[in-house]
Amino acid sequence: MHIPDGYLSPKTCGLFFAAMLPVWYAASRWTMRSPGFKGFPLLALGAAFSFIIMMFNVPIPGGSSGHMTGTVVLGIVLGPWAALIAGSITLALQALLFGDGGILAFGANSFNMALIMSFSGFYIYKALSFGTPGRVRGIVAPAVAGYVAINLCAFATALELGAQPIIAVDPQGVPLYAPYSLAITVPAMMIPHLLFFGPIEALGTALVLSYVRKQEITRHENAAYGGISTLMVGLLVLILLTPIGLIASGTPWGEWSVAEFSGLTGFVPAGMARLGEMWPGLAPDYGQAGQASVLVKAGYYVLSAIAGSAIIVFAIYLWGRLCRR
Amino acid sequence: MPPLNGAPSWFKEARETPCPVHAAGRGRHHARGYVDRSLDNITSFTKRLIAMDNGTGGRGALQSIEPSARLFGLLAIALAAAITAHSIVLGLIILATAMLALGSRVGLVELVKRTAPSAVFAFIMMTPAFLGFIFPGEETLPMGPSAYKTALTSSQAAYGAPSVFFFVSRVVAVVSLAALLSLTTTPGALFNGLKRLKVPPLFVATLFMTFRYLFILLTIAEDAALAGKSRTIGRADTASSRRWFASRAALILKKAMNTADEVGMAMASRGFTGTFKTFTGPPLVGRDYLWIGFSLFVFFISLGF
Amino acid sequence: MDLVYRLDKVSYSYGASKALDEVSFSVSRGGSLAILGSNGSGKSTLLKIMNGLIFPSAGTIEFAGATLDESGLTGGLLRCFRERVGFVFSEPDVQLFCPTVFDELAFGPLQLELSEKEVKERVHELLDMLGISALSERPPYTLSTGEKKKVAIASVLSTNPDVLLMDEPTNGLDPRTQVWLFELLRELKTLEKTCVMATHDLSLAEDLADRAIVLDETHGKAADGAISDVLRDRDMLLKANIIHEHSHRHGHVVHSHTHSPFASHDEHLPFLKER
Repeated sequence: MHIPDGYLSPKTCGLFFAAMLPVWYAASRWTMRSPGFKGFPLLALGAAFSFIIMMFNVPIPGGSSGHMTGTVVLGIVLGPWAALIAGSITLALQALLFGDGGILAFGANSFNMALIMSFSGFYIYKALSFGTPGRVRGIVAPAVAGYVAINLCAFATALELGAQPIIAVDPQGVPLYAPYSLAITVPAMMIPHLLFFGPIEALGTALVLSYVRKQEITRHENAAYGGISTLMVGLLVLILLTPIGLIASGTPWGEWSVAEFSGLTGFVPAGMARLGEMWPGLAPDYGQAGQASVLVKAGYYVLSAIAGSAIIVFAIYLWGRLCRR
Repeated sequence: MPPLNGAPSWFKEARETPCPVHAAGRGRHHARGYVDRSLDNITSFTKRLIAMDNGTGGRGALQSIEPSARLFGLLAIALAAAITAHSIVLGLIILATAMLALGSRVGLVELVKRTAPSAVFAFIMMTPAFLGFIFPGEETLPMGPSAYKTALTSSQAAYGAPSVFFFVSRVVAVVSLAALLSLTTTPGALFNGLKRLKVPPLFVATLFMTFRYLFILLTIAEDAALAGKSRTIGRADTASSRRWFASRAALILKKAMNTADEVGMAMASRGFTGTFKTFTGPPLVGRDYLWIGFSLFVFFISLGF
Repeated sequence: MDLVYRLDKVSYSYGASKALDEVSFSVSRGGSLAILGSNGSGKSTLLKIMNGLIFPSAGTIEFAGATLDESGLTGGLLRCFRERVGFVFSEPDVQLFCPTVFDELAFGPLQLELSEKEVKERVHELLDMLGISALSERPPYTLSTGEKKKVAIASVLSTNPDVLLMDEPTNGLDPRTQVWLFELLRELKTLEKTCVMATHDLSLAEDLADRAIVLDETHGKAADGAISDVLRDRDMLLKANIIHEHSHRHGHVVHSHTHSPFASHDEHLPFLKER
């Protein structure tokens, strides 16, 4: 479910980073509100917990076993905002320190595995365990929360992967990143999650929660999280999901990508033209170069790339010097 | 008074005969249990954690570059690898990565070991594309040397092959750069680098503390798993294994929460009031600027090709 | 003599369970106090209250005349209090959360906004003083228990506290590290540092404290007086479950041995030789 690097186009990666930045900011504000900064080590220990829990195999009926993600457990125990940060931290550590991949796809992975899972898990659990839940609901509520949350996460992943051949193709229509369409990615992701990983997460969440309740270790201060209503979060998630909806529906993004894409993150040599415009001073006679051979164009481009790099390095140097003053 | 005076008689009974040697390993060789598998995971993870501090501190090209510059440069090149649509650029990036690995005394074997699983996975995932189901149509192959085409001419495979190779190469490039980062950067250096790159201190500190407390929770998890193993005679049924899993998970969670409380207090006790204050790192020097310049150049090239 | 701490009927409860019941005592400057009690008697809770980490549910606590409560312990007082009072946790692992030993020692002074240059000098001097310079660049999680304890203590000393609160300082330490700790604490005593330690290690108390208070199993104060008087009161110590019938003395030290057939006197040898 963890999307590796190279499967999503840089544009998709960038989009999810942009979408997650305000979410992370909001999450850190919510989390730091808890008194005495106890929330802060709690995030770290929560993230460490979800690392560890992935190492335990959950036995499921039929003799098979697999591991759960633990994000829904954290969402219920620590509250969704803290679980969102803990989940992102887990992913960042895997990507940066363990080299497990997913550096560029970090935003998208956080969106799927940290945001969607912790919020959907928490609110489904809340909705199902209203009042004072008895024994049956005490098991059903976390199980349903775990099952639905992981499947939503898988669905979002399938949408992101399936959108790639629509938005990232070269001029000949050959996909540059994950090549499979939604018709393939959705069943490929959903069937194993509906049948196998879903039950594991459901069972694991219910089991752990039953012990958590026995030992009374639920922590999230309702006062801190009660301030934001379910509706607001629902709307937020909808707003964030809209771009995916657009990707899925295809047309606006498909058109946009061919024209606009080549400029900023261009895949085609034609992108050189746009770059020439970006640094008009460095490639002043670009107009003539346009008629010149491809080799000359490429040469100009390489030169302007060198100049651009040099300018930025100089800026970093100046900035470093000024900061030190 | 003798301390075991009150013990029941069965407790005082000594076993006369040794364990029957011939009984060892008798019967069917059953599959390893959940506990064993969990324990395997824990041990291999612990090994990775320990290796992380021992294997990466050496002197080498990348190690001598200031951590934030190192991180920035490797990310810029990884981004370039993700952006480029030209197999030559991608090939050069892979070549540069291999050279960096050699210059940083990482060794190609180690790098390949880290990258191979992702490459194999990507390749398997792309097999259907290989057979041309995904890229039907004319032989329009804008990227890649024509060697691809001649190697697999006239069959349907020719349509998909270059795309598959390009896709797998891209995965290899990005994954090996990520592996290179983790192989040349100690956790401490990584966290300092992130801090200098203006990643919010809350996240950097939480990242580090997560890493740090993994050790404590791992010890607890390992003890829990070993205790489970030492008490398991024969094979436990699924229901009791499930109970075992749940109680261990809850135990680890509870320990995590208690430790979190104590750590919070220990930080407050030493004057922490919510904002992390740390040393500003050493200034960047010539080779750091050269490295940043190189990585930016690769990045700009990828935009155009 | 001026008072560092004055506690008046301090109580604390975790939810329904009581951890401290109306404990009153005071600590004078330069004194060293041992808080004796069995496991779960409330020693750690008391130390946390004295470090302003938690606040009494009833009663008052004053530090050098200033009341420590949720609203009072802020701003300038908080900063001053954190600089003056150091707390060594019983579990060194919770106290070590920085990437290297050097950073660990620098953490406190940096939070208290000393200049970077000054912090670096201080850390180097402290590392030299405690003989742990070799550990400087090591990440704390790779250290042995004894080394961790040394670093934890060093990380507290780096702010140069006047008052040192220690929770079970000898817990889990090998004999050599125990000796190191004894010597260090004796030296700190000559520097007029106030020292409060919670322990059930009676030899530590005997050796280093001039005064002791005893918490019994009802979480109240069972005794308060000069260390020699307190340790002589066998009945009270028995009742507070700090020693039991199998305890005996070596010289002035009361030993408490377990029933375990594996217990021997060897574990006490190093500092018996010392005296």
